[in-house]
Amino acid sequence: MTAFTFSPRSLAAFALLAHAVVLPAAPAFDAHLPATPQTVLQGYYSASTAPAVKIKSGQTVKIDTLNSTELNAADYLAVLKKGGISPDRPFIKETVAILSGPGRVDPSGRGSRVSRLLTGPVYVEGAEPGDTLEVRVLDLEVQSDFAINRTITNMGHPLATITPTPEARIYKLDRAGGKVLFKPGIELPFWPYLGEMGVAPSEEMGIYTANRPSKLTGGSLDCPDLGKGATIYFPVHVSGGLFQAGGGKATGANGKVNYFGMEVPMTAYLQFIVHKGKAPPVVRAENATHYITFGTADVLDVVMRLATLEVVDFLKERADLDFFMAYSLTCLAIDFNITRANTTGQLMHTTIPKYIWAKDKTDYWYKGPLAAKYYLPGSYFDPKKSPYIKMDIF
Amino acid sequence: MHLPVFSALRTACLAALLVSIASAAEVAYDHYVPSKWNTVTWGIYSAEYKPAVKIKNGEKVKIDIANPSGSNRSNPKKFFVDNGISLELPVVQDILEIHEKTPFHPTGLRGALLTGPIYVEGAEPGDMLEVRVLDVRFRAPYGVNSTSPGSGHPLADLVPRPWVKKFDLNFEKNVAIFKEGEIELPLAPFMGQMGVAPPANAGAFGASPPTAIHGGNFDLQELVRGGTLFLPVNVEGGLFFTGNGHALQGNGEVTNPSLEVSLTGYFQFIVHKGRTLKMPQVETPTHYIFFGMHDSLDECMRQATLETVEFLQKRNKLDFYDAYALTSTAVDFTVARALLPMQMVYSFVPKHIFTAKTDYWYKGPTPVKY
Repeated sequence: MTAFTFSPRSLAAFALLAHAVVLPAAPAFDAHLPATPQTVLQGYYSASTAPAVKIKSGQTVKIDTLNSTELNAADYLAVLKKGGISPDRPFIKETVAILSGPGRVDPSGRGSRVSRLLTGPVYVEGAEPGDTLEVRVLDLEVQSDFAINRTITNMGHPLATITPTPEARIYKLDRAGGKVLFKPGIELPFWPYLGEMGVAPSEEMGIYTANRPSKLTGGSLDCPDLGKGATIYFPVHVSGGLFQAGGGKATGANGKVNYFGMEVPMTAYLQFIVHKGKAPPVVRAENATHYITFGTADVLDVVMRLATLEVVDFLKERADLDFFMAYSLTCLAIDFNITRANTTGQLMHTTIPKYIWAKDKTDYWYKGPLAAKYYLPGSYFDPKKSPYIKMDIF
Repeated sequence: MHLPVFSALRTACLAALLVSIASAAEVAYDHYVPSKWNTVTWGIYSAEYKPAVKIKNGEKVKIDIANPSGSNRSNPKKFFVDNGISLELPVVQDILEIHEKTPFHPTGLRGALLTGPIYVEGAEPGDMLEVRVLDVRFRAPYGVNSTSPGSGHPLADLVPRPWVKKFDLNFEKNVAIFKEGEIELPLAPFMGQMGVAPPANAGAFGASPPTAIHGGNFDLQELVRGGTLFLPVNVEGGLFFTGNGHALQGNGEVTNPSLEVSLTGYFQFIVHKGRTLKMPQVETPTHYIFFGMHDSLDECMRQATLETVEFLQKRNKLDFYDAYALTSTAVDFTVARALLPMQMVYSFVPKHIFTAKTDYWYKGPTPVKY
């Protein structure tokens, strides 16, 4: 019999093939860190936290992160109920279990019982104080079909004084289509990123709480430019670095004005590379199009000054410029983005475009698509060409 | 209009430059305002000035602006001679004449050179003036950046002395040469200042701080070709001024001036009757942009957030929480002007999040980075 027929097995193979074509394969990984009471703690970074996994430099870890939007178990369940979300779904179930359990809270007592859930720490062999820990964001997967955004009262966000009551809202996600179905007529393209990525402080530095960014350890960077394809460079303060992550967002924006993005549980594929004895004094980052530096303080004017100093220092070094030229280049080519407008650690990140270097085109590991806001299909900006139109004169 | 009459020598001096650039056709316009000594002010927005031109609603105007950055009134030719800039360039001639003849304002207020005012017939207090940027062109192949100690910018206390530097513009490559062969900045020219006269009883407004009342010193790099600015009208005719050309800029404009250049702008003016504005607004092909202005960046942030939330509530009939959530998750905030007095924060509402597409007048390419 030569007639071509589909056997159930070939159909299954075909389905698998089709699946593989539609969804790009997740990156290979060397270790998996699921979200369990043993791997998830509540909102702090400490030198004395026992590692959840030990890896070698260069290895990739698949890290599952949870996100209760800093609610306790009862409030989180109430929000799910209001949104008609079953608490038995994967990632949600684990979140409820951890929030309902004894939990692992900041032993200093300063941290909040309800805080960002952080997965980790990852111990990278060979990382010692004085080294740099490079973390590459290979891939990010949104792990729910809804996102929570909350507006809180009586806390330092720009419209806190006119927010009458706290409110939590659930927004549906179209994961296959890669968008947040915000309201009929409003759709936000996915641009997933981890709001929280940080390393442990040394014992002398004490315990660092999440929800507050630090230029020494990272933490609550909340930076939409650190999505898939980004690289973050952390100074190492303790053996192994002790990296933790959480606060996943399906999408978000610079400002994060009501204190939350589109908060989701998220799986991250992160590669860790140790650079011996090359510590930048502070956290810096990079993506395919920009170098990124940070400034943080509680008052935006102070943040602005610190961010300016940091970028001027970066340019002096990177481009071999004197103070005046570095300051001038900062004025002419660098954007100051308000990353976190909240008085519990306001943050700016400066984006330094790589295209300004005329000859020195350094290669970058990530070659995939860029963030929606850098490249919208059908938009004017084709990153392969100059983003600027040809000018005419006279 | 007539081309300026050059001597053979002058023509030869400019020939290489002009021939080397294949200039695309100029956009059509109804009126032309040159930057002559009697059509400019030294940084003053005021109803006291006689209109440079009176136009009808909807008409297009070509406006030359002269940017004297680098040159000094006491010895106006020195900067150009020292930096090898031809004194025969029409804009340099304008600047030399302005230094000689245009008086400073009697109040002592002084700022960037502005061309105008443009009187738009039918514009009255309480209306809104829409200004469309049809095109922007360069008038000279150089730009100037500078900084000085103690003048309200983030590192003012670290600047040991005044510093001025001329940068060459390369129109072939469409870049400013920041460091020869190493650092090149793509050109994206725009007017740093676009504003209207304040109410007659408010007297003269200096050009340095922007205000919600007259607009002015926005330093908004998105107001390149294709941008639209909406301004309130305070006096009959609106009385629009523009100047302070920038070849390009980063959001923040930290050293205080940007890459200061002389430009020609092509604008269309449209009056919207009875649409009052409490704060100027901007629209681009890709974004709606809202402002916060104050000496404190935190207060700027609060104002810009409120403007954005109110816009989204109204535009998409959202309640406060949805509008605030949308602002938090889809709207980018940036420091536009880190300079005292009157710092500025902008919010960028991307149009692509709205599934119902709205038409916009400009269809060409834009240098929008976002």
